[in-house]
Amino acid sequence: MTQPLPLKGIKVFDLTTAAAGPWSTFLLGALGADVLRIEPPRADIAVTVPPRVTGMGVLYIACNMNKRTVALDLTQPDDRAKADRLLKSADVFVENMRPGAAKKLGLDRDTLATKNPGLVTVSISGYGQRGPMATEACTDPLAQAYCGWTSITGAPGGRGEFLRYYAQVDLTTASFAAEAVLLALFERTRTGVGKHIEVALVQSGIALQSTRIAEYLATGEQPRPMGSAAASTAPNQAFRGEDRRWFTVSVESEAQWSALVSALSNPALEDTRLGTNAGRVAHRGELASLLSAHFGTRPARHWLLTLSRAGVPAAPVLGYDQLDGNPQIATNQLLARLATHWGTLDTVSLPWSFNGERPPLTSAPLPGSGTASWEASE
Amino acid sequence: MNALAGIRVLELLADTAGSATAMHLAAAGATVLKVELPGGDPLREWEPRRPDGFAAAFAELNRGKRSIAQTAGETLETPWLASLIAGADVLIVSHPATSLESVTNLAAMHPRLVIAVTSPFGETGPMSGRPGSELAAQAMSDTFGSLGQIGEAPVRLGADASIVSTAIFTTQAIAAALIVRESTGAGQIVSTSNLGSLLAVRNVIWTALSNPDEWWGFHLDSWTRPPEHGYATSDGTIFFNLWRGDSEDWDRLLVELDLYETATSDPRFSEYGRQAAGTGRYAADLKSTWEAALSNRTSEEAIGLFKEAHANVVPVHDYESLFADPHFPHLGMLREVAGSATPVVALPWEEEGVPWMIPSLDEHGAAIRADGWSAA
Repeated sequence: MTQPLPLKGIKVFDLTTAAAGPWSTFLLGALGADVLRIEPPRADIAVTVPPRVTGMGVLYIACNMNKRTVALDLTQPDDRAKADRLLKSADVFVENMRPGAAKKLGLDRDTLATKNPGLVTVSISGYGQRGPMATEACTDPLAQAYCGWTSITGAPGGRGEFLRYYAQVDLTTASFAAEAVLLALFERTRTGVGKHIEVALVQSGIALQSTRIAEYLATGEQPRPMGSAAASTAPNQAFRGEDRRWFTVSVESEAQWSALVSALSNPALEDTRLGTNAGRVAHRGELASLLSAHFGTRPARHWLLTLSRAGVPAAPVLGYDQLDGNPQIATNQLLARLATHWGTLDTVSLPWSFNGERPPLTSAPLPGSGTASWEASE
Repeated sequence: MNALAGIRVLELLADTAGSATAMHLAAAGATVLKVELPGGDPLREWEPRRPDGFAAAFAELNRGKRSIAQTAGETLETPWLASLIAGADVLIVSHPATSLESVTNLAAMHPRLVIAVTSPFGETGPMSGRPGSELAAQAMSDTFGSLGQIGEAPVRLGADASIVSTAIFTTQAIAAALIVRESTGAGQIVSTSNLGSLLAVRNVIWTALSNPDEWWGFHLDSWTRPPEHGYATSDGTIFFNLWRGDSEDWDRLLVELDLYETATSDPRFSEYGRQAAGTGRYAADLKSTWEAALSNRTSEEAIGLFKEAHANVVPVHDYESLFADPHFPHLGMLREVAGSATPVVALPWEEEGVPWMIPSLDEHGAAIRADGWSAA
């Protein structure tokens, strides 16, 4: 980047393992913070859990970019003294131990803030810091199960299903945590005082469903799995072209409905019952059948072009192998290929740009590899 | 959180993700004005409706804002709107509804302004001028690859993950830009997209798929597995993994579930069942064995058994059972709405505050046209 990174000069003490904690500090590192990952004496599960690349867990590689790392055993007096020195001048402290563990180590908010009132402290947990489940172990799929989202996902009429990407809740939790840290750092520029942030996996899973839970709160009725369709508007689902390829159509406004009707020139769509979103939602089954028959007469590519020209939201269904060559993804650099210590690998591109520039990515460090150089600089 | 107290945010004809971003900023204490099209934000027409008449999704994404509706023919140069832009700290717009040229011009005219641009697919490329949707972002990010059954119709993730993720990332970028402005005095343009945001939170799977040593591990084999529903009990569904128990825990569990002979003669149950359940390597193959053993146990009984065996176990909730769960109130995830018995869902970091207001279309239009930000 030609301009300084936004968090240049901010020091992050990263006492996290697995995914939700490490990805939150990765985001801060990508924004320019100096993130010092404290490598635990027992290997982080992210290092060992398969799949692995050149022997290293992909979870570690994906969640620890843009950081330095030192090995410290905080139960040993020498290492603890080093940690305390670091914490005195740190701006952000992030931990994701079980609730209560940080306090046992003297790393709770109250203790840390006494020595460093400007410190922003973050506790990331599975089920929150209070309540009967607070100290239970949690992982992404357990959070998915608890937070209710399997009840709204799946084939119509079937049992609800999990998202079989078991890091979505983890990385969303990480994102919420980084969001709160940035807001707290901005507040600190005005008050000089840090604050404490708590974020939990199941909270994030619930927040991800806010618009669906809103449906339940509004009606008292449990939303059901609807395949690719949405409860809020219709049509808003996947259809198949003559070539049997799937594509999506989402009508989310009256203007888009008018555009669809005009583009398809099918008199059946001019049925007055379909003239409002409420009417289309009420007759969604009939509408879906009508459109399925219509879209089955030409290939998906034809409909993507037709709908695109008309201004109706439509998209192809892409698999992993199609992402790489997709011109929209490539032109906007939405995926990246990064030289890491374990080879050149696909990774995320960062989700934001600043004045058109994306901050640079750097490989996750070899665990504990920065200890010698850091101690030399101490 | 009052981190943004005193910060003025103008949401100008934003898309759903931009609108969600403005809600996050309101939750962080900012003053937010929502400028809507003459007919109002299309979300006002989404289904279902709350008892107070607001569309459920609209209420969730627009709490804490004030509304002013444009009238036909009004532009960015119309005095009341130009004045609001001039007085704002943050402007949220969406591409393609607002052109990139307009954004550049606004940035030149208002050098302290932080301008956030959200778009469905990114600001350049063949799809940059097209409208998007939650479903489109899921379709193009291979989210469908983690759901449903191979060869069957696509299944969407029920949660609006691209909208929520874009709102989080855009709020991050705005906060970062505000931090920079405190020291430099200069605003900047920050950009995000629904597609980019959803691809970002799928980070782990891209790395997993690109060059694994061996084709196994839950980020790989789950890709081709059948749908995961959890484990049916006699009255519900639970989910568990067996990562922590020892031999005593394991033997006791197997005896209780009458699985001792089955499990001790099948190597897939080795290591105290580590790979036999949850996201383990053989979990899908052994699902029916576990479900047969649990068929005469209630979820409560089964959860008790697994907890005794030091398993990680939870009920698979729907909303009714989630809200009834004794732990749920401790999560603090509901907030009051003024004058309504129907709450809204909180953000994880959101502090308790006064009940939220939900704006009717142009509810604050007359006052804001007359008095600008001081009426906000």
